[in-house]
Amino acid sequence: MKLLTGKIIPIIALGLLFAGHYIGLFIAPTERMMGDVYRIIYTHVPAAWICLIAYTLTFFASVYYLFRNKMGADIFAEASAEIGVMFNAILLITGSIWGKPTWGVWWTWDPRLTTAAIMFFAFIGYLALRRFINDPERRATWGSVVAILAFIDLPLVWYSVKWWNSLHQLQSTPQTVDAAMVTPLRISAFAFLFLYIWMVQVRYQIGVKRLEQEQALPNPIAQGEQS
Amino acid sequence: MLAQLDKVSKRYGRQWALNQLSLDIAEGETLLLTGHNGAGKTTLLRLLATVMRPTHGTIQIFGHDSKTDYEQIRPAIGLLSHQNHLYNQLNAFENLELVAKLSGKSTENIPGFLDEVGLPSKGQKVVAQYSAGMKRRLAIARMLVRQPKLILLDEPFGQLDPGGVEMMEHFIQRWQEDTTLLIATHDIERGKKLCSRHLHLEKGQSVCP
Amino acid sequence: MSLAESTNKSPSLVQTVWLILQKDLRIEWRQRARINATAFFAILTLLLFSFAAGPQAALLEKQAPGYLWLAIFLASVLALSESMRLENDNEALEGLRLLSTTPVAIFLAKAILNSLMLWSLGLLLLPLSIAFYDAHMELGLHQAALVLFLGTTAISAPGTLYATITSKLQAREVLLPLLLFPVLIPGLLASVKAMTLIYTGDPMQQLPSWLALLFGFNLIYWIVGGLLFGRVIEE
Repeated sequence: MKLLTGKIIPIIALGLLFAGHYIGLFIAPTERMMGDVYRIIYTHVPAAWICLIAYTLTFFASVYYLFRNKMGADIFAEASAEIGVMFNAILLITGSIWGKPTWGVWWTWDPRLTTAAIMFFAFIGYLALRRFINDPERRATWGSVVAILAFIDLPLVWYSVKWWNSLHQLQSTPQTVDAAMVTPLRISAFAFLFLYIWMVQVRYQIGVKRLEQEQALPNPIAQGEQS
Repeated sequence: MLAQLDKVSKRYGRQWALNQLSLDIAEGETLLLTGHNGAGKTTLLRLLATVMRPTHGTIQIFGHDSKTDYEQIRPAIGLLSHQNHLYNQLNAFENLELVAKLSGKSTENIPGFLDEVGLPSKGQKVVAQYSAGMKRRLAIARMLVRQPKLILLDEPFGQLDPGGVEMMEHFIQRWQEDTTLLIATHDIERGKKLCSRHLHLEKGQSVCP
Repeated sequence: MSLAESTNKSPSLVQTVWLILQKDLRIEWRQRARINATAFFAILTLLLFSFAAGPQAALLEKQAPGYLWLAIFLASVLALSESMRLENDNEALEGLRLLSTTPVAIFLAKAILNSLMLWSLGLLLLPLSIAFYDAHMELGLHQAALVLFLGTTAISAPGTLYATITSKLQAREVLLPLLLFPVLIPGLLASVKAMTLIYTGDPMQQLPSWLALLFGFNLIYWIVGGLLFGRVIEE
């Protein structure tokens, strides 16, 4: 088990990452409309997927915590949110880099991009809040509440931005993708997934250690009987 | 048994405020709680008041579990602590009226209760303008309105002038007739005079006094 | 021993909400200097926006609905945290919990209070924004009041929840807006759009759908807020 989490998963992740990006950058055909710029999707799109998966798991772990009060669920929620924020940052940066040559602007108020930016701040807020609560149980409860509300808000943001923009619809991302482009995309997606699993594992263990640091042993030692 | 604590522990970070404390509280008794600062007195009272939950162990009050059925327990519990639960911008009558109405009690007796604790019932002064001793008196009146079955007093003689201490003793003796009391105090002499049983806490555990 | 003798007929949910709300209104009235200060802060923000946009009358007129809502947003952080602070003085909220007051009632009372305050603020700022930015209202006042109402209730529900969480923390001044603003963006977008239609006219009949969207957001916020509030105060 330790070998699997400590060595094998990161090796698989890095191998797939290399393979996916190699095929994506050098073998996959050039896109007709956008040229070579489109190749950033091999980082951008998997980052978006994994980011959403990470936040979704944070949401479910938070709900689970509120029902069961298991500290493990909260540690996982935080770990997943932190990795999610990292992928979210990659998503925003690659999105901007892609946007400049494609749309001529660094930033556009497209529903997806806007939602990505807002969820970045929502989960930054979640992580920031946790730094200011000393009691682990209170931190877990309040953190869970904030994570749940932030996650429920994502579809609302998406819909409202979509409606907001409906009058002057901006360019959407091309939907027709060549099969030769899909394969490296899938490989990259799995690479990011394994990266996520590995990082969450490590971050979870750090979280467990931190909690041990913060808290006394789970069972106080009985020193005598009461009078 | 009115309340039963079974191996109750409460943790604050790296500290155990209570360490596997087991305790039975019989109906009608008055329990004196002593111990140094940080020995776990306030924690014990707050756990019994169900405003906090134990980290380990169970507390049964009136046969209800404090972790899950606190809504049934709370109406019967009166907690008097340095946090007096009063609204600063309301006057004495308004504070008590809110408590009475929210707990479904009559508001008729409020002027009488205020009279008993020596506060003017017509005063327009809001609590923010009260002295610490007056706030304590109003907190006692709040207890009279609520008529709890289990009264938890955290340092009841603090912040009171000699007249107030005498009045506090008078109320404790009156409550003893039909309620169960837990009194946490550093004033051991006065406490011993009033209480039927003595519990001394040290490092979150009870020791023989 | 039985508890029957100690539990009297407790008030219904509506009565409880009303009792707490009444208490809060009384306290807010006694501290009206604070409300006034918040209102003047919001008016000042309206003025500041016009300095930021320069003295271009056309631009200001166009942006008027957006500035109006931003002023309400910025002031809402102050109003929300103040309304929770009075529950933390003397641990009054703990006192309410000890009376076995249902958390839902506390949430509703607090959220309704915040809605009323922010709505009044909005109604106050509306004519001022028209005056400062030389804007015109094409639609009626009752429609503007409805938009302000739905927009401010959408702030109040998550705002009450988050203000309760942050009011006990040291960094509350910065944490409340950091948590609240991202969550409020859907409501802000819908409110600004609806308000723009009020100012510029609504030939395409879009206002009802924006109002419906705002109503939907409110429904979600108030239900989720009511469900989660108990866990926030009972930790």
